[in-house]
Amino acid sequence: MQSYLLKNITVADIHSPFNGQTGDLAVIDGKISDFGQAIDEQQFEKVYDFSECIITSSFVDLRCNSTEPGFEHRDTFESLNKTALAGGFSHLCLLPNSNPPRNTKSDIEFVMNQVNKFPVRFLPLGTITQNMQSDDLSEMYDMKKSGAIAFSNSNNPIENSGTMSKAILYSKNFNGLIYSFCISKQLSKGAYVSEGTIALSLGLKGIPQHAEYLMVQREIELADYHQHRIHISKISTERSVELIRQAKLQGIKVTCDVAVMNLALTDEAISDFDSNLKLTPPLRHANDVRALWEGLYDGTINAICTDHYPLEIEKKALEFEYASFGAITLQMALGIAIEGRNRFFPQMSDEQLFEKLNYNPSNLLNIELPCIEVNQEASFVIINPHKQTIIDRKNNQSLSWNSYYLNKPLSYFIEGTCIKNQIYFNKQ
Amino acid sequence: MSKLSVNHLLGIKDLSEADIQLIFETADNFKAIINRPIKKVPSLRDITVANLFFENSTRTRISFELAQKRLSADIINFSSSSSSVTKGETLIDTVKNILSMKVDMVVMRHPSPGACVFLSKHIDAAILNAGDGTHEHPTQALLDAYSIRETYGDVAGKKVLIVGDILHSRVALSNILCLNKLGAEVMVCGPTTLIPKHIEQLGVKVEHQLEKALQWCDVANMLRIQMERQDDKYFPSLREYSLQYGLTMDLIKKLDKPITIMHPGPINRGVEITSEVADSDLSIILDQVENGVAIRMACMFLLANNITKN
Repeated sequence: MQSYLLKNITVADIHSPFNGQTGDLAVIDGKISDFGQAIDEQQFEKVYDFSECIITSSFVDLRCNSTEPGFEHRDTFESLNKTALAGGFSHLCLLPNSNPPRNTKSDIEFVMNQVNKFPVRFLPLGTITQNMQSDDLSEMYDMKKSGAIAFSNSNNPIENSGTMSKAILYSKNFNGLIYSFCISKQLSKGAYVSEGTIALSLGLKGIPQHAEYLMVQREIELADYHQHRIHISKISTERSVELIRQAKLQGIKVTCDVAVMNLALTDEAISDFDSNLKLTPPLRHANDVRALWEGLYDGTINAICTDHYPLEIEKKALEFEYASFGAITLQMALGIAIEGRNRFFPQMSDEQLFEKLNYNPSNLLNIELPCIEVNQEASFVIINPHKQTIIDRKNNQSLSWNSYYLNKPLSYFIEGTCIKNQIYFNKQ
Repeated sequence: MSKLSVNHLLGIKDLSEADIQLIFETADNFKAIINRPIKKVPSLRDITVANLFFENSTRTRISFELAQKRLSADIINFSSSSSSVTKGETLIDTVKNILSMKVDMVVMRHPSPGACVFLSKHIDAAILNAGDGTHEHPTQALLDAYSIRETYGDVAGKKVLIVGDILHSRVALSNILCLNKLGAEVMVCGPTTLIPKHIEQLGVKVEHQLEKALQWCDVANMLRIQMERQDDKYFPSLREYSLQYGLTMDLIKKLDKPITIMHPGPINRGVEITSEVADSDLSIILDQVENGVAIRMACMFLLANNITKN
C-alpha cells in the first residue's frame, strides 16, 4: 500500500467539492482517500508540506506536434512524457505529423504500443487526408477503432472545401472528431507574421485576418449543413471568436481552442525578428488577444492548447524568412497562460483558467478527468503561485529549446504533477 | 567627437534625428573631399570591410566600394546571387568564415528581411545594411534625404511623394521613416494592389491618382517596379502601369510649380519615368548617385569610430 499526505494545500478546482478550501489531502493506492484538517501523519509513508500551494486537476493538451517516428532528435515519447509532467499535463493529444504521418491503423497502434509504459496518457490523432496533403480521405474509421482520439491535418489547412465537407460528413457515421486548422494558403502566400504595422515596419508580408476567419466561417457552415461537430484549432483573430460565438448561439456543433502563445504575446514582440516567435497562426494584435481572452471567459473558446512544436536549432537559427514555424511550450504552458491572463484579462480567476487546461479539453474529447474529490483517482497538479518558473537549458525537459521564454521568468511554479501513486516533482 | 547612438546601421528605425544630422554633417565634409583633386583620406586605415552581397547589385555595391577606397579601408568582396541557405551553408557560417579573417565591418545585402538584424545578434563586427529584402535600405534613404536637403536647404516641411511599388520596396519604407524623423511630409502613390493596407499608420498620406499627388508635392521619388520581389501579378501589364503611374513631361507641364524628380535607380525608362523627365533639369538623379558615396563614407566612418580595437 502506497500512501502520502499533502499538508496545507488549497484546492483551486471548479469541479471539486473542496474548491477554495485549505487542508490536508490524503492519497492511498493512487486514490484520494481524504481531505480535511489535521489528518494524522503517522499512517502515511510520505508527508509533504505544501503551504501556499494550490492544487487542481491535471492538464489535458489538445494539440502537441508529433516527433516520433521521424523526428526523434526533437523529442521522443520519453522526453514528451517528462516535459508533459513538468508542465502539469497528464494527457497529451499527439498530432499526426510524424514522419511518415499517421495515416493508418498500424501507425496509431505503433504509438499505442510505445507509450504504455509512461504515466502520461498519449492520445494520438490520425490524418484526415493521406499524408496531410492529398484530397483522399484517410481510413479514419479504422484508426478510431485502434485508438485515434481525433483527426487532423496538423498545420496543413484543408484548402479544398469539397474535401473538408466530405471529411465532416464521413466522420459523422462513427462520431469522429475533426480538427480544422484555418489559414488559407492562398491568402497567406509568402507571409510569416500578422498583417499590420509591425509586419509593415519589418518589411514582412502579413497574414491577413480574413485568411483565418473566411475558413472559420466555412467550417461553421459545413458543420451546420452536415449537422456534425467540428473542432477549429488554434484560432487567433477577434473576428473568428465572434463568428464562433454566434455559431454556438445558433446551436451549431462547433468547438475551438487557442494556442497559448497567442494568449500572451502580440506581434509587437517580433520587432527584432526573433525566429522563436515565428508561429502559425502568427502572433496577432492586442485587440485580438483581448478578444481571445473574452472568448475563453464566456465559453466561446473551449480550451487552451500548447501546440508544442520542438524544432532543432538548425531550423530556427536562420533568417526569419527561412526559419520554421513553431515553439516549445508544453513545460511552460501554465506560466505563459498566466502571463497572458495577467496582462490582458486579469479578471479571470486561477480556477477559471485551469478549467481551460483541464476539464474543458477533457470534456471536448469525451475522456474522464478525475477531480479533487474523495475516492477519485489522484491526477493533479501542485502549483506554487508565489514562485516563478525559469526554464533554462538545464531544467528544460524537451530535447529542443526553440522558445522565446527560455531563461525568462514566468509567473507560478509547478511543484509537481501527481498521477496515481507517484508525484513527479520539478526541480529548479 | 560626436558619435552615433548605434553600433550597427541596420535600419533607419534605430537612428535618432541627431544621428541622421550627424551623418549629414559628416557627409558634407566627405562630399567636399571627393570633389578635390586628391579624393582619398586615411580615415579607415587598418579597418577591414567585407562587402557581402547575397543579392545582385551594381550601383550600391560600387558606391560602397568606392566609399571604402576613398576612406583607405581594406576590402574583401563576396557575391552570391543565391542565398547561402540554398547552397546548404547557413548565413552565420558563411559570415563567421569570413570574419575569422579578422574583419571589422560587414556591409551586407540580402534578399531576406531582417537578415542584418539576425546577423548582428551572432557576430561581433559592425554591420551596415545595404538592403535586406523588403525591410530597409538605410543608406539609400539617407542619401535621398541628403539630396533633398542639398536642393532645398532643409528637409523639414518639404512634401515628398513616393510613387510606385510601395509594397515590395525597402527604399520606400526607409525613406518614409527617415523623412518622418526629419519633419518632412510624405505621401505614397501607386496601384491599390501595391500600397500596403496599414501604411497610413506610419504617418503617410495615400493618393492613387498620380496627377493629384504631383500637385501636392515638392519632390517626387519615382520607384522602380520590383518584378523580382513580386510573388504574384499585382497589375495586368507594365504598359497599363505606365499609363497610370508613368511620370511624363505632359504631367509635369500641368503643374503650377516646379518639382524635384528623384529615382533610386536603376531606371526603367518609359515605365515609371520617361527619358525626357529623367534627363531634365528637374531631375537630381545623378546628384543622388554622387551623394550616395559621401553618405556611405560618412556612415562607415562613424560606425568605425564605435569599433573598439583590441
